[in-house]
Amino acid sequence: MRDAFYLGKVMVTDHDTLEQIVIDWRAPVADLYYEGRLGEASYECPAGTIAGEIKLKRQYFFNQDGLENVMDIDITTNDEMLQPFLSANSDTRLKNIISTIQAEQNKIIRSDMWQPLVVQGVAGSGKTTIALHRIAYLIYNYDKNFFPEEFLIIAPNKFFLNYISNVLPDLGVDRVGQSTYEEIAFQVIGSTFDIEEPNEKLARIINNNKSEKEAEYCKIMEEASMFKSSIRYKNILDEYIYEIESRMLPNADFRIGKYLFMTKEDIAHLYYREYKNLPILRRIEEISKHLKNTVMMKNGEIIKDIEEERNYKVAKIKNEEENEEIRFALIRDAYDEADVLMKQVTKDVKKHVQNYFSEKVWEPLRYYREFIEHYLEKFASGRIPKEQIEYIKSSFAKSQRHGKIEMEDIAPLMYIKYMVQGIKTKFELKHIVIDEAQDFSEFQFYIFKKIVKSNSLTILGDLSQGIYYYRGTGNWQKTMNMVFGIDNEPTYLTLQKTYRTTEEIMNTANKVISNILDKLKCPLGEPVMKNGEPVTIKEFASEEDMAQGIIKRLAEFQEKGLKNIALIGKTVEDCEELQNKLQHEFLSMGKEYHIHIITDKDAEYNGGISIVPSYLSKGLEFDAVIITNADTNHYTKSEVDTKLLYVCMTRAMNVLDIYHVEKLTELL
Amino acid sequence: MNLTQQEELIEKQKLKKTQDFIDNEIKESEDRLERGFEDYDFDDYADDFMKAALREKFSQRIKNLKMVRRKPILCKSRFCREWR
Repeated sequence: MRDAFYLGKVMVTDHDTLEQIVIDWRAPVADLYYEGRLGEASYECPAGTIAGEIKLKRQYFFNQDGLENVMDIDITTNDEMLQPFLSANSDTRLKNIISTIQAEQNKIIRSDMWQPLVVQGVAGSGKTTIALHRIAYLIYNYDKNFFPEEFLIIAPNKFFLNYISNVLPDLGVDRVGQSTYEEIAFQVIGSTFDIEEPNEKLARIINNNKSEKEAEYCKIMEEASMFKSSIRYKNILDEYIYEIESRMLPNADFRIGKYLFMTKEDIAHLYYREYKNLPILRRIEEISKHLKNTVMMKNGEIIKDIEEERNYKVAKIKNEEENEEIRFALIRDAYDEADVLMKQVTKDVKKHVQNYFSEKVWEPLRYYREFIEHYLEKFASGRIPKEQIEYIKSSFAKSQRHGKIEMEDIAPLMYIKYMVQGIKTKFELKHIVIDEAQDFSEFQFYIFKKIVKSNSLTILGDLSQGIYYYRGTGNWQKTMNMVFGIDNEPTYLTLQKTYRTTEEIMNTANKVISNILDKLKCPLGEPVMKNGEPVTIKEFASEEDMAQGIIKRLAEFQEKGLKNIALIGKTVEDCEELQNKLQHEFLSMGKEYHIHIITDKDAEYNGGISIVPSYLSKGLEFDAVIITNADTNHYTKSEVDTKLLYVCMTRAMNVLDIYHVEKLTELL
Repeated sequence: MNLTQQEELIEKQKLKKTQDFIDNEIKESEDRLERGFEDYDFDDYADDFMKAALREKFSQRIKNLKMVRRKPILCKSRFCREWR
């Protein structure tokens, strides 16, 4: 029997015959199209494995007027067929790729939801696009169990969120959470904080004109950041949380008046054993319920006891007190006393339980401040150098004086919230996709795992682009072992083919990253696009000459129809200097100047020509890129400079120019 | 196109047929929305809830169908099953 099926973005059914005219690309049978080649193939569906033979694979191509072409293919889409899609100019928004999903991408999209998935994908391999298609796939296949709101994608900044905003609605998926790390963290913690500009630290580290003292300071800063991002730091924080745990539990039996309702040993058993997996506040809530129930269960008996005792007292007064006035007063007192006791075990139980747990729960920041100021030294001494402890204490105090916290403090704050009060998000998150994950730390991944209450994480990144190495991940395996333990090994998949850049650009970028490849242990990118312009490396006599050269080149780019162009400087200062030079040159030519510098504050990239600091270019793509000041001083052979230059180079889709005034960097 | 004329014709007919189905479904769904599901019979207590859920479902479906109407088919495969 031959089954022909058509795939599309959504299913189309003939309601009279129930025939599926078009099958949703996320349906199990679609796996055949994306995964298999002509010949023997099989796919998994709820009924089991269906085996057979693929006889035909056909692709539809549309243009503005409608159907343009239909072609029979073997592998999903060969490189030649991808060319029309790839050679199109860059857009300011990401698009869906349903018709061109490749086998290696399909594996990622359809990977098991409950197993952690780590994707090492080279620059331009479509990690973000694949991540979004994976979410669409998971929602389609698990829609009976989850709401779209229970999925979350974490992107590095608002700029990036804007860039990806069209894809999920375009895939017919709405309401999936899309958030930056800071946004979700604030939601989890329940408060917002001003965060020290995360790139300030990086800018300080990548400045290669440092004094010896500044270099030494930067080294301690780097090491302290690494420590604060590690599971070791979480373990030290755990010791402090034990202190909170013990402080919150009174060392006393629970009594109302003279009546004992629960011994401190029984309460401790509930607190440390029965409810040990709950956050401290939840444990207290549960034990409070327990205490209230115990009182309610016993109060009938106790009331009887109180009444008996009162009656005995009254009888005794009646027998012994002869003075009528005094007798009356004593009897009234006995009744009043009994009423108070009865009220205590009936109406005032809540108050008594509240008084029993008298220790107030603080906000996470207050605990964290106490930890840094009074406990860090005690717990971390001998485990990390004294200078690091001092640095952590002083930098935290400095940030706090300005009402701020550091980026590396967010994970500990979330952790304290999780352990002490418990986490409440708007929707209970079931799966988190973390993009640009090389910039995330062990501690952050650990928190995400706790938030989803499982291992259901999709982690996508590129170690070659790990410019925040001091608080990010340098080795997937090592990091994941720390997060998931050796018994829960994630699925590791790679995306090696790069669809963004030309062969010439990718080969030059590969040459740069090869300088540290031994350390990174990740594969080089394989360009799919061929026959681009050669990479231009050009020396200028002065900065002014370089500015003139850039203006001339920009005119050439625009003549070629290249719209989105980035001039990438290493630091903000380099970018500002370049802007001044360009502005001056434009004015002297009688032209209007309209090139702006992209900063952290920009929420959207609207296309056109922009000046971009190197570290903010990550995740973006441009038709043409000019890297300025690519000299030995700006780009040394250090790991961070190598990664930064690689990131800048791989932003270019079609044309890459590398300019320098001083001696060309040895990385090239 | 690397297809025979007959194959090409079949694919074009398929595309047309699909677009007709989509147009028809959009029209029917919009009519249903307009009529407020008066032809649907729910228990009283569930009436409002069910109607709201259906409205949401139909609106989303119409949105999706309108979105894909111009290119509803992206690929085709022929798979010959082995019956064991």
